[in-house]
Amino acid sequence: MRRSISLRSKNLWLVVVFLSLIGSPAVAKGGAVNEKQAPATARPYPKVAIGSIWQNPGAWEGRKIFLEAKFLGWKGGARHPGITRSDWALEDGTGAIYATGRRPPGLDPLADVGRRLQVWGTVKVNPKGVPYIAVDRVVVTPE
Amino acid sequence: MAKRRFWALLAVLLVLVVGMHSRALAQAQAQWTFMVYLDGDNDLEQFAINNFLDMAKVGSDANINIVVQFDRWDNSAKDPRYGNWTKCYRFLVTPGMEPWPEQGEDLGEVNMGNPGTLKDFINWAASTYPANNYALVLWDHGSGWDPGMKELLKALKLATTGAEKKKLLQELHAARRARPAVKWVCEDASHGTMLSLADVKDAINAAGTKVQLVGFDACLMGMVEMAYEIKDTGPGVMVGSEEVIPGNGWPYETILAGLKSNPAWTARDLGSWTVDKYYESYYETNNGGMTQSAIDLTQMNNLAGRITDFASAMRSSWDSDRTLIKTRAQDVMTAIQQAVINERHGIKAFPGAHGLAIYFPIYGFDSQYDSNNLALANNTTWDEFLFDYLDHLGGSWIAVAREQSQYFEEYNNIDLYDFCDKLVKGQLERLRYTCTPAPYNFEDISQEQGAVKLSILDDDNFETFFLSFTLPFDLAFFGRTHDEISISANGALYFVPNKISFASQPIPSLSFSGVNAFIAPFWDDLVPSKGGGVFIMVKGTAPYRRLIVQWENVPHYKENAWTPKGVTFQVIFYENSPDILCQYKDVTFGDPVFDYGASATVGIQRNSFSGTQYSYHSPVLKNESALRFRLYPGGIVPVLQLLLLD
Repeated sequence: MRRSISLRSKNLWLVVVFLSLIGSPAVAKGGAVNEKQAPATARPYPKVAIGSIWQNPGAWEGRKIFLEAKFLGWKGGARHPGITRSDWALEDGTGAIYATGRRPPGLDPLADVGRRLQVWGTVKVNPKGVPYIAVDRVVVTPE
Repeated sequence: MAKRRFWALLAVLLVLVVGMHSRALAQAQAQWTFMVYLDGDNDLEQFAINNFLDMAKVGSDANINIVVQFDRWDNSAKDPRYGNWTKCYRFLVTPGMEPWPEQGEDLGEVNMGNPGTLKDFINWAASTYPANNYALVLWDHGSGWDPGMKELLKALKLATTGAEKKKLLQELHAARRARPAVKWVCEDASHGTMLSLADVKDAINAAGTKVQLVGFDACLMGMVEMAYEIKDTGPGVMVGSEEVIPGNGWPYETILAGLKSNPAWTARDLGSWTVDKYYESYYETNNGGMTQSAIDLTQMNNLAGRITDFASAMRSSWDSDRTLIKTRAQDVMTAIQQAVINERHGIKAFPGAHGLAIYFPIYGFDSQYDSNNLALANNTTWDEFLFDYLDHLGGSWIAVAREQSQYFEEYNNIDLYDFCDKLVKGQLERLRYTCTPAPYNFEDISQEQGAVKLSILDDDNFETFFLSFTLPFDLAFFGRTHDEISISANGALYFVPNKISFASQPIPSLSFSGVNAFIAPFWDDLVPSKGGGVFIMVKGTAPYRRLIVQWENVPHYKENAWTPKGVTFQVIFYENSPDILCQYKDVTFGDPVFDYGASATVGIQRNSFSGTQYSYHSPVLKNESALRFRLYPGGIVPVLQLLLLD
């Protein structure tokens, strides 16, 4: 039997409601969080489609997001933001985007294209209007 | 007689004419030919075009020739500018030039990842645009060390059947064939090739043109390995970055403007200027996340000798003679200072950068980092030291220095000077945790709405044996902060993504699969897949949040089965304190062999030589009790001291 909702839990639910309003599939399903995500009470990372970021990069700028996507490494597929030459791309069927910062552990940017990833990060936009993901955490999905 | 006079006069005139012509030729020869091997045959193509345009803002003159071999990408995502061409052209870059195909010499599609192509370019540039000095810039991606091998090697190690091993070996061999480069620069996507460090050396050697400066406008090439590889090929100076570089790379306009104004510059002058201009271009706009250095390659033999002495001392005397190691480390620092002509870095992002990085992995070893592939590995004992480190030094005081050293985006690379500096200072083992009983106030999160139940199973399944989490606040542990934590099924937590043995050991003990530092509230052979669960939750509000990890009713492994009852305990980390609280609700499995911690380890380990053990295989834990681990002598002062040392 679950305990009654505490004040802290009520705050959490306010966050959940807010996130569901902005279209977070992961949280909209009753607050269930994949175990590989950060603790639920800590960082809300709504799951988004890459295509939706490209539709309106400015609207996403500065927001934390969660992506499930395929590793494209240095094979391209999207406009390169040029933050570093080691930026790497990922795609999820709705589009492709580059990421910068932490790289998928153990993956070669040329040889390991196609591996499935889970990525937590912040949407940023470079001075030329190209969106990209500043990665907080990336996990390679076991095959 | 008249005929003789005529011929003599003619001969004199001929000598004079030839002599004058030679002087004229000599006067016409440029001071510098600046060669850029512009490999845009990949996803960096747009930046290659940008850099070409930057060079053209200055352009060649009588004193400097700017020559470019520019290969572009054949891909639907390519940059369409300047006719959308995909082949390779050579250009003498003149003021205001744009990279239209008709401006260059058409080479067709060439393989920029072939050392022969690089050699041909050098020879063409030197013969077509001879000069007193040559600079060669390799432009493109620069890779880290090969990570793919590591995965295969790990799988090979875990393989249990002969067929499985055979299959993995085949994959390993295939991967090696596909990736002959231990570390590389200049990827040609059209051909799937790249230049290894040895390829660069071979190409410059084969060209037969004395190049005074070699620059790498590419990520992660400011390394001892790269500098040592090309030290005997002619150039006196190498320019490269320890860290990754921005898309637009070198600021060619300002670099070349300086050279154009000062064509009498030496390679040292040009290298040093390049470092300064790069720094000025990015230290503000790139949030200080930049490094660049110019290296005197004539000093590399000396540095390699000091590295061998240093590595040998660490191998032989790591547990017996710290003074010797510190002396050798100081020698390396001196050698680096002699080798670095100029070095600039972002103070905030890379405070410990000093100009030369070196390979120093902590999780696995690139199997190609050996004497067959790398001159540094062939001629020093650094690779032998790395083997020793991964084999049995991973928990030593040397590991503490390694953890504290400046690392780069490629975590396998550290700044060599900074590592030596950490060893020499030797202040890294001051901190101690004390362990005392504490008031028991169990915060059961197993039924809380916000708690996450982990699906870590047991040690039969490597993938689910532990889980790693990004944390909402940094955890302080021995003066370091961590934003990720790994949680093991076996009642331990640590800061590297790896597993810990089911067989608990006394504290301190040697490394377990790279796990040197850990918190063990109840390290034992636990089997959460057979009952109960492990939960994680953050409670409270900043800056007073608490991270709680709870093992709830988790049984113990017992003779191919498990105990009918499980233990319940939790560990609590605090946002505003380095203290760690362990609370024990129930420490009985219903089996006296395991009850009350009889087969568990309880404590904290900093490394293989220091830690705080509360108990080891001793039934001294009590139900409804708590232990507080407190950073001695109260946490705050030592942490500040350590941060200052960092």
